[in-house]
Order: sequence, then C-alpha cells, then structure tokens
Amino acid sequence: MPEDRYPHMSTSSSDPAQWVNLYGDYLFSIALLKVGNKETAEDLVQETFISAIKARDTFKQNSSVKTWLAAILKNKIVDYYRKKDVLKHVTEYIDDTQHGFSEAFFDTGNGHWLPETLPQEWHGSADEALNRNEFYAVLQYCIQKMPKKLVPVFTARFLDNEEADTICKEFNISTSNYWVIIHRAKLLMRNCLEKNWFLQSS
Amino acid sequence: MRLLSFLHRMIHSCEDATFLAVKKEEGKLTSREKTKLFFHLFICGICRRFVKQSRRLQKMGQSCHEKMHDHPAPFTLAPETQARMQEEIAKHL
Repeated sequence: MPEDRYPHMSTSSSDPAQWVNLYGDYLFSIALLKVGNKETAEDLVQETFISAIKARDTFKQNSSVKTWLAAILKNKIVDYYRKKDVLKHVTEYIDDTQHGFSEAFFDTGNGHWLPETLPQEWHGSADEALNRNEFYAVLQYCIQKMPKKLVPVFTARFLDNEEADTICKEFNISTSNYWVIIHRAKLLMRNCLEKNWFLQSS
Repeated sequence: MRLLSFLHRMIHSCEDATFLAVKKEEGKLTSREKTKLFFHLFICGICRRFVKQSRRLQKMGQSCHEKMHDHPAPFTLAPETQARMQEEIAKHL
C-alpha cells in the first residue's frame, strides 16, 4: 500500500502515483502562465514531481499536498529564470527601451495618454471572468506577448502576490528596476486584457 | 514662468502618475510622491480610472491563483504527457 510507504502522508491523495491525475493540470496551468511555453511548463511539472518524491520527508501535514507541490514548482520556476539569466543587463535594457516604451503609451510632449492607449470603461465582472477558461487563455496570451524581461517579475507579483523586497532578492534586481518593470508590465497587461477581454465580453 | 511650467509638467504627466500609482499599491510612496499623485488624480479622470483598474487586476491575479487551486484547472496536460510523467514517477518510487 502506498499509504504504508509514506505513513506521514495519510490520505490516498498523497500517494505519488496519484499526483499526475490529481495535481498535474493544476501545476501545469500555473507553469504555463508563468513560463509561457508548453514544453517548458511540462518539464517543470515533471521535475516538481520528482523533487517532491525525493523531498517527501519535508512534507508537513499542516499543509495540503497540492499547496506543497505548488511551492516546489514556484521555486523551480525561479530557478529556471535564474539559470536562463533572463534579467541579465536589465538596467541597460530599461535605458535602451525607455523612450520607445513611453512613446507607445504617452504623448512625450505633454505626458498624456495617447488616444489609442487611453484606459476605457470596462464591461463585465472580474469574478465572472475568472470562472471562464477562455479568460485564462487570454491571460496567457497577454503574458506571452510581454517583453521577456518583464515576465518573471510581473508573474511573481501578479500571480503570487509577492512584494517588492522578496522579488528583488529572488531575481537579484534593484528596487528602482523593479518599479520600472512592474509599471511597464501593468500598463501592458491592462491594455492587453482591455482589448482582448473587457471590451469583448458583455 | 519657469517654475510654473515645471509644476505643470510635474503634475500633468500621466506616465509619472501611473508609475506612482503602481508604487502606491505596495505602499511605497514618499510623502512628496503622494502629494504629486494626489494632485494629478485630482485633475485627471483617466488616471483615476487606471488606478481602479490596476488595483482590480492585482486582485484578479490573486483570485486567479486561488480559483486554479480550488476548481478544475484551465489548462490540461495531454494524455500522452500524463502517461510519460506517470512512468517517470514510477521510476522514482
């Protein structure tokens, strides 16, 4: 019996042989939103399961297996971005793209919104959006469309609701770069969701 | 005159205001920045809308994670991928 092999994991849902069925899609969904690529997301989920089996002694019964696996996946994703060195030369990147970015959203003369990026009144409720799978597809599309350097920081803030200090340490960036990244990412995300969701649904 | 045009630019930039608004969501504004944002939002309805929507997005991000945790996941693994993972797990048991 698997339960006997892992006595500290008391229910059958803790049996690693059940993990793919029970948690595979959940972990894959998080990974896909955060890394934007199906194969990479699958690999990260796979690695999560293997690491979890190896580290099963560290599992504490006061958290659920699902939450525990999600925490392992979260660390895997941070490692993945660190190894890829996505945030290398981020200061230079920010400087080089500053003008172009401003110009895409604002009139650089008077500092106002451009007519095409001006925030519109949204239709539909946010809660309803989150109950529809189509919304997650739009969300994934908008994250994927973002410049690569913004994604790791933005998703940590947006999906994990982490704060500046934690994220700066995780990705070894300065707080001033953090604010620029979050500002740009939020402008892009707001605009993309508006065009592809909030002005589309009724 | 120069002071006036400086003030004008300082208060009128929607780019600066949205930057400060995002920073404010994490409670990281200096009192000088707070004042600047306050005056901008006083005169700019569009940025007030931005502030609301940006906060709403932040809440959505959080709920999105919770929803995925408590409800069927929005994205699914292909059956052959599931089978491959299953085999890999079996090797490590």
